[in-house]
Amino acid sequence: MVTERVKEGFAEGVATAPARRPSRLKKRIKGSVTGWLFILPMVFGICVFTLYPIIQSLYYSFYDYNMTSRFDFVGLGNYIEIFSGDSDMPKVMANTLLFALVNIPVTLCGSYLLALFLNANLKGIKAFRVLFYLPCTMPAIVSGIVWSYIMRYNVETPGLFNQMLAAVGLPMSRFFYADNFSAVASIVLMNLWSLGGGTIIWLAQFKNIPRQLYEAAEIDGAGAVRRFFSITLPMSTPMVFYNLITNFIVTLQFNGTLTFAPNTGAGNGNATLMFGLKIYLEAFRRTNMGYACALAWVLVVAVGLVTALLFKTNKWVQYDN
Amino acid sequence: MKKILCAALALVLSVGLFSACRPKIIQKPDTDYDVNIDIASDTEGTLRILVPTTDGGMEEGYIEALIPGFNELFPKVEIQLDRRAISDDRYMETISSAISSGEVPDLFYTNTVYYYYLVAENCIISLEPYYAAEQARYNETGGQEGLSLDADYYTEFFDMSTYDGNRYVVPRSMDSVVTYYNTEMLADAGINVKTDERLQSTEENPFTWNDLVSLCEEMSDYLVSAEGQQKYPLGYALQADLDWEAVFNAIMVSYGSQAFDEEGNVAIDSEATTAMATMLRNLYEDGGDYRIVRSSTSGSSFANGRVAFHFSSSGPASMALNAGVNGKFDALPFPLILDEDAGLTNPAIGCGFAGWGISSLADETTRDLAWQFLKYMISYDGQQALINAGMATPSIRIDLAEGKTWSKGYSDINLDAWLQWRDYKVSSKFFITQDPSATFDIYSALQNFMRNLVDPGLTGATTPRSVEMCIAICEEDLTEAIA
Repeated sequence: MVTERVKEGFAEGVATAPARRPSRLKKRIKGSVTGWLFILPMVFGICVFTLYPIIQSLYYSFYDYNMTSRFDFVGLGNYIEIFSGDSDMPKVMANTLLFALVNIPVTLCGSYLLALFLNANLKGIKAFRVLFYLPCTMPAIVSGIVWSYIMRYNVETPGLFNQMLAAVGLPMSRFFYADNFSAVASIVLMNLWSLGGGTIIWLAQFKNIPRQLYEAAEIDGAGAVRRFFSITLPMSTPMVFYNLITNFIVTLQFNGTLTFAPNTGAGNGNATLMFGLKIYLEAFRRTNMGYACALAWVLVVAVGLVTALLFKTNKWVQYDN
Repeated sequence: MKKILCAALALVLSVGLFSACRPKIIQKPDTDYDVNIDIASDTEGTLRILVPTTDGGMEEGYIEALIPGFNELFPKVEIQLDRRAISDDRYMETISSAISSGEVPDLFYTNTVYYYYLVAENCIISLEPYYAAEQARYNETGGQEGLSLDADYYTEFFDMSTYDGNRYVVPRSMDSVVTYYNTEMLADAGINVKTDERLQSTEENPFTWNDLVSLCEEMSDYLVSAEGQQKYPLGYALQADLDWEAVFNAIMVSYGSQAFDEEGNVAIDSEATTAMATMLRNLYEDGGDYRIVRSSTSGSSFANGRVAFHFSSSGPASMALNAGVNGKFDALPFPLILDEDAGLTNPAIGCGFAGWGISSLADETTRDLAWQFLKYMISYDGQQALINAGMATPSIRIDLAEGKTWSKGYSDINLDAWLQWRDYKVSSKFFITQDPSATFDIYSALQNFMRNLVDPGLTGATTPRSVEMCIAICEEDLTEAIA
């Protein structure tokens, strides 16, 4: 009986429905066309300004390309050169790692402590918040120039820091002009200038911590230190993790020395030559675009690996309230 | 079937994408091509001329001064200025960006150092066919038309842009290093600028390096005296601009020192280099608290009146803009490094050019129009227009340069200082045996060498490095630059 009815229904369907039912793909496209139209400008922008250059740089990394008259296929030659032939690379790696090791903890801890201070309920604290954030509104090139004046090493017209050193009877420092660790330390010192940027993110996170937790802790007799270690710090670990990753990526790509350090940013004795700057110098100063692209891809892989490692070890991050 | 279709589509898309990624590159242009020097005056066209934005608008001002006169000849040709940042550090970046973006000027601004990059990267064309056609026309018409470099111009400045036997750039003027001196400072030090024989420059009594050193030592004695310290605190004797290639190249050539040998191998470590470096280091050390010599990249600042001698190629009109020295300076040629006892018999004076070359990507008509523009630039009228626009260096034309019309209002200055000793003038060629991408790294290596010798503080050294160490560092830097 059932079979008969099914047969009838089938026969009816064949007789009354269109020749073919719309496929699932067509249905999905029809259902999502409006959405696609909404995101089309963004998709187009990403394809043209992000995806295409990424593919292009990968393509160039296999060529000896000087941007004017030479475009020769070299296979993995550029990559081999990075790891075996480029005499700058040991110095570049050492400087970059040293900078990362010093800069990331200093800026993370510095901005965190500053945020704790700015989060306090004190009179006039809003003015301090504005003051600390103001340097971030200054373009990087301007702050680079300002800092090159502040740290200027010149017997006749010393910069502000050297004037201060001289005032207390200390010898002048070469800062960016030094050919040793002092040059990298000067950059770390300079980066403290823009701590306010990171502070904003911390403050936002602090505001998200439920007040009830603090109230409950206070009722239980927890002091300020206990509240910090038991509530504030654990509750801000997601942002610590976020800041750690973004700081790490930004630090590895750092090329700010270009605007103030001698020797086209590489410093004396290549003291400030780091990975980001090396890519820039190879691409535009030596016009080795193919090699620069290969360097960029090595950096991408390195950043990807370290980020993956950080994600694998993020058990200390407390995502739950 | 679907999978195969998808794979094929992916393959086609990938091939298409990679094809789109493939950049345009410039092929080597022909050095022998047909030229037309009889362009009709009603020819229509546009000329894009590269001008630097980093020189305070100087070159732009010169081009703008040429436009009205050129438009009288070719009223339907529009001149567009292609303003770009141009400096030693950024020249290659600027040019390669222009080419890779397809926004290529028809006339490339260039100079003694930059031109090599343009030629080696096929960016500009040989001008020999134009020179030959113009010379032929000049001969046919008995000098009424055409152009004869030999007859009317300082040819050595045209020859400076030679590569593989072809000339590539038309210089707008001649740049030659001279020695400025501060007449007031010298007079304060008791040196009579009118009668002191060391401050003369004649065939029989040339102004030599030894004269300069002797004068600097006297000056230094004055500067450390109580009177000198009171009047010129932080004054010093010689701002040598030793990190400027026109200066250090001339000194190196005079001593027989060279960065690379004919085969392109690093050859900086030599007896000649050691002798030169020792001489410079001695000058630095002899100065004591008031050092005699300083290197500086500050160009023609003349230390704002605090220095007695200063090497520069700027004309007097430019120098007079400096309030610290206006009205109290004169000039001598670059000092000849001559000392037969020490085997120094081949003096050199640094010189160079700034000018324009024609793009190899310009089409035939544009190329011919570009040539007409360059020809107008070095014509009598064109050079007059540049002089009226404030060109502070001597004209490339013999008649205008020797007539002293290139520096109006400064006839009391020794203008011969720029023209004397033509045979000794040399331009910088120390990078010519190397790949053009190494040019600026080589330049930096030699700059640092000079700074290490006379301004160790600038190079990060806590104590002055020995001469041997300076040479070793330079050798290492040069090797790295060409690696």
